[in-house]
Amino acid sequence: MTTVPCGACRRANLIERRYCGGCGGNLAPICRGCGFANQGDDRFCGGCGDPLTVEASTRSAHPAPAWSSTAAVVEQSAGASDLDLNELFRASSETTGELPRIGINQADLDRMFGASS
Amino acid sequence: MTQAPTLSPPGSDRRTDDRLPTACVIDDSAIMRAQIKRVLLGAGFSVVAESATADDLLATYERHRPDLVTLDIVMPGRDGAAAAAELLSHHPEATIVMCSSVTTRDKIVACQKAGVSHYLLKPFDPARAATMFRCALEKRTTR
Repeated sequence: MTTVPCGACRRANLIERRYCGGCGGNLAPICRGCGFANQGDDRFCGGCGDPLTVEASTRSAHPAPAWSSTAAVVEQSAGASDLDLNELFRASSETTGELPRIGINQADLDRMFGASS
Repeated sequence: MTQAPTLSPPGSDRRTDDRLPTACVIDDSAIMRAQIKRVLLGAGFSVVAESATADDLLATYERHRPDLVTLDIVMPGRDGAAAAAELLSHHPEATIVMCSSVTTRDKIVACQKAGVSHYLLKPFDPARAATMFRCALEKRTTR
């Protein structure tokens, strides 16, 4: 029985699950580059081939993925919008070997979309 | 005793309760649709339609004319962000709340530029989601 941990609450879920039984979070690794929803144990994206884990990125023939470098994320964001995307899309410096989490949260999105909580 | 709102039968253009604001829920996960519907009902909405894809979003919107559309991004078939842009190009008055776990720059900026009202990040707190849905409705009525 293969399980994958939820990135949000750490609960172990059966690999065929798409959403966490503990918190409802999406278990499918969403590719940072193309948005493709991959299987829970995929190491490379089925949509664009980018590595989905730090371990995979070190073995890939491709250059390091955009999410692995704060500078790369900032460079991608520059000039994309008049919003402060550099701040909004600050990358996590943590490289734990799991799917990296970009530092954007609901408060960032609320600011971006002008929502009041 | 107040009767809980029910889904309209396919093809119906009649609202279940004219006193309640209406919503459509588009998400490929049945569990997530149920969760969003529960929040919407609790926030005082009537859910008039739901779908697992955004392929027919424009037709669904034109049939039901909901006050609010909740829309996932990563789904089989049509991408939710592209579907939102298409709907808003035809119906700029539409109020769309994206409900997604996607945090990629391109998708979020695309949603913002298309005119999406709010962006709810999954997993979400039901109370916060309810507040956002009501806020989106208020924004709609004041514009």
